[in-house]
Amino acid sequence: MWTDTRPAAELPRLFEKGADVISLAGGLPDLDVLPLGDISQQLARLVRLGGKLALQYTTPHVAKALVPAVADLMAREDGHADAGNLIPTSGSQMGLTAVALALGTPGDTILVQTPAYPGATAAFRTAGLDLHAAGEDADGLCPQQLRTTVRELRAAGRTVRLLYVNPTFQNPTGATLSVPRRAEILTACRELDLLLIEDNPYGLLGFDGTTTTLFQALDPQQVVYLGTFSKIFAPGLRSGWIAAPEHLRYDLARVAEIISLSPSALAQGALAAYYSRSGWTELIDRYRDSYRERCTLMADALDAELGADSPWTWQRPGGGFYLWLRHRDGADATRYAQAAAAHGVSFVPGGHFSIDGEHNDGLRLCFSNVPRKKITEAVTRLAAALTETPAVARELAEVSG
Amino acid sequence: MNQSQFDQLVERICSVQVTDSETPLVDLGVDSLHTIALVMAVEEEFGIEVDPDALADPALASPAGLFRYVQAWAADAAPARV
Ligand SMILES: Cc1ncc(COP(=O)(O)O)c(C=O)c1O
Repeated sequence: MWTDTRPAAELPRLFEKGADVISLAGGLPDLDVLPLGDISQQLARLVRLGGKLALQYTTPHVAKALVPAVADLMAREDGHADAGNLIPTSGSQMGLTAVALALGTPGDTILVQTPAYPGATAAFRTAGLDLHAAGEDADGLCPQQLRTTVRELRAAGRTVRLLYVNPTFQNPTGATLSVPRRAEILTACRELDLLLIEDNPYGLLGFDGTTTTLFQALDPQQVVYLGTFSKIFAPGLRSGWIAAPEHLRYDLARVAEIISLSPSALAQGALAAYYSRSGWTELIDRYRDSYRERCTLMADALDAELGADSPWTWQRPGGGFYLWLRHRDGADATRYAQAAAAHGVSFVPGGHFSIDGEHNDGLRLCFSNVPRKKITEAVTRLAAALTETPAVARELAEVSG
Repeated sequence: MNQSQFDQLVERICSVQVTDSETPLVDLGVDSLHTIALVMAVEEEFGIEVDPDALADPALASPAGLFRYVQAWAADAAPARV
């Protein structure tokens, strides 16, 4: 089947856990911080008082009751939301598919910041788009390379209209684009007539509360913003939104309706009720505390286990879920995955985030959902696997030796 | 709590301005899901349980009507609590 792209087929495996394997693979939030008692009471109230509404089909709008909750979230990164620019989604995953279907035409090329979230590349491929990596320099996605790439692609007859970016605490690298760099990228987008797709599930999860001004805040006309409640509330509600320039709203809303017919009024009602009672600050702070603590444990253990002369290098992220290791000499991380499994730990090899076989020298560790007590042990196991001669290399050595 | 304080609760939960407490919530721009969210907040604030069937009663569909319901409930419940 032409839609059967590799990343989509492999996604579910990320969430499997073997008996004694400590998983650093799947990017799941730490739901221990959720006030389940309060949520359960509110859900009970919502169904008792409004069940016939909340369990009914609804119109493809972000419910009025939920708009202030979305506007509050976006304002924390200087973004702007109102009833007029919002389209409801069942999370950013649906947002990615809706954007690709509504704003792209099969055969178009979409530029992608890489390494990229595999769910995004799978969504774009499923919509019939060709993917092309957007160039990077030391400060991340590079506006000058963007100009060159787009001109080359267009000279070769390709249609290029979209640029996909996950700008803050990026999955899988944890990296954040600076605000000056964002402004330069937007200048290039205006020159090149590119729409920027801003996918931002992790932006509010800075460990010390730091936020970065959204692309959407800098130029709302050039940006289609994908927001989600998955990482600041819970993914199980499958609820998110698109904030789009007015002239694209209709096309996006129409495709959203084709994909899902109706958003979940139950989920929207539950979120609206939670927000009007408690606001977001306390919950977001709890998530931040949890991830800061876990990330510190993991990074400290990596420092201790791998040390300065290890071929594996990494940077401490300032927020989000992920730590990205790279091999100095470009060794393929896939080769270490088996050794890691044998040592009882799992990670996602970097090639998983490639669009054309690159990034094999990287590997992603996710700290967000590992029990605190197991983090140091997980890193000890990982270090044992990473410092071992990988099986393939050993075989090669035997053949040639 | 008096009516004007109750109106402030409505304003906070529903992000609208209550110019006249007798104005129906719909005319203030509060849709049905938002009304449910408001009644949920009212239940929690006053420790009461609103009858879902009563929600269909137009008499309840304004800040003043809802506040009268809350007060009646409190008056009914008061003796039982003694
Ligand atoms: C970069 C990125 N985009 C989108 C998603 C999808 O999130 P959801 O559909 O739960 O909003 C994820 C999930 O991990 C992600 O990491």
